[in-house]
Amino acid sequence: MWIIRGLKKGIVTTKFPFEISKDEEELVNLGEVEVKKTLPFKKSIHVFFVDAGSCNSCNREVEMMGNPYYDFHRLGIFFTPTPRHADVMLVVGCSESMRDAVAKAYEAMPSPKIIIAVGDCAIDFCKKADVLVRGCPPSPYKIIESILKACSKEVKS
Amino acid sequence: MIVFDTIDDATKVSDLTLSAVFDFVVMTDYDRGQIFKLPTEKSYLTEDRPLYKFLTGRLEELKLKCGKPAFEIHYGPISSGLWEAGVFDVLTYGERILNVIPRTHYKKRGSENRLKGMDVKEAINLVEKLCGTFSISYSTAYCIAVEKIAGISSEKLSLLRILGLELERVYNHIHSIYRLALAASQKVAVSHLLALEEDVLRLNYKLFGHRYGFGFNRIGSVKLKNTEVNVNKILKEFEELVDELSVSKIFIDRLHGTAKISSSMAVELDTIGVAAKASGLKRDVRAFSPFYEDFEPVVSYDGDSLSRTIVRFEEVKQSLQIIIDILDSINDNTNNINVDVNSGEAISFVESPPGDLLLYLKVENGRIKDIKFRGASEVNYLSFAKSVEGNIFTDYPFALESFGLSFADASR
Repeated sequence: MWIIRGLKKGIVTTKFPFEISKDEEELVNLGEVEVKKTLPFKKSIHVFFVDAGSCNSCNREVEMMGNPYYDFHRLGIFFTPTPRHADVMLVVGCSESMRDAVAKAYEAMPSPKIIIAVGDCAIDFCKKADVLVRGCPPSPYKIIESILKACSKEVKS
Repeated sequence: MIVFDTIDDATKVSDLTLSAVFDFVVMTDYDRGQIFKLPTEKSYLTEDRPLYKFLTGRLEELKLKCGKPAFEIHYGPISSGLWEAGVFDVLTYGERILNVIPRTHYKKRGSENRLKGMDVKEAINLVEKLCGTFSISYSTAYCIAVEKIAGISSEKLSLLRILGLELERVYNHIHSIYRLALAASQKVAVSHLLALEEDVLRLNYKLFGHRYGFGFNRIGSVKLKNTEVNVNKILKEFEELVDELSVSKIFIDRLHGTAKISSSMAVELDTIGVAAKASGLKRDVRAFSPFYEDFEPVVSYDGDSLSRTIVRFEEVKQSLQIIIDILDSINDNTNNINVDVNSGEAISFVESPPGDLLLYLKVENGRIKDIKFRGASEVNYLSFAKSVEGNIFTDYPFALESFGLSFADASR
């Protein structure tokens, strides 16, 4: 029975970004966030994810933001499948053959909009990025932190 | 595995599996654990195989010629369902899939060209970042090849590398199962599986100091931070989840009979790894490794998505057991061998999560002269494309995720 298994497992979701427990301290510090520009929104934020040719580990960390430990939905962060509905573009990777596709997707986004470059190679690739998340790969904590900081929310780090 | 420089008997080629097309052709005998290098002038013997056409980029020949009502959809490179940059050209009448051509070049980062001319010991920093989620497989294949050229082998080092390889298999297999559960809208199972994957990634961090094992393998040494971890808890939790998932009728129904590869089709397409094992072919290079004790590959016979998932279920349990055994046997984690590399060439085979990874390395005066990888995804994307023909669109994610492939592994 799934329900019994769920009750046995208990709550694993961390209190991040409001509190950081001792076990998480090391993982929270994997990476570094630098904010150049913020969005004028504060409540919910819609993210459009673009892979510009990464090694797949940044993709995996972005996907891991959805797991019960981080659960980014509780913080008002949602993924959207189309750039037309997005406030933020999350870019990972650095393949030249994707440059045109990324540029087109950015043009399709409504203003105001910002780009978050996740991972060291995306920072090199995406010179226009407004928020930089350093790390190879940065931890899901840092990616969540970058999205929250992009809409000027308070984050403990 | 034993490497032979040439094949004496040309008729034997038809019995072998095509593994890679570099400047020469690599053929493998998975029954005896032998690798054959086929020189360029003899490559015509394999030119008719679909995989040869796929690996050499003759994709137009794999396309189905069809009348007017059928139309082509380009799925990718930026799409919500794939999570990765790649394109599938899907030919369809509207619901039934007639033909699929995977295009992997969007992920081309030119890494192999950048590696040429690099110092052998420094190159490992780039090699482990070619495909992040299969990082340990890549770095292990590279280290084995370099150590082979230097003429060094160490039992302890190999055992510690197996620890890394098996952990990588565990979290990647759990990820594939999670994607299948997500496609079947099993939201509760998805949360449990994702939490378990995070547990394994954190275990990686505790053991290797990195969630994906970057920095774990170095030439002549292995970096192990800590060996006191609890793997039994993960094994127990995974077994319980498998029990729940295997009685979930909705989940099983979506997988059963989807994207079938019969064993004759697997032979024709030179399928490897999990997909081949699900079709009844024992194609696993771990069976020939002297460091795996009495290793018996997991086999299933139906060849559909369900079979591949069953193989994954069993492999995760098998891998966790291997990890527990190795962690028990390690007394101290000091390991450091001095490796002097001069010149030579080597081929190395490693079992990465979706199938075997092949590396050809040529070194001259301590610098890389030539390096070529053949990722398992490169081969199995063709098998996926052929298996999904005749299925309908709603089967697509169940077919794709059951193979557990990665575009980063297919194009570097």
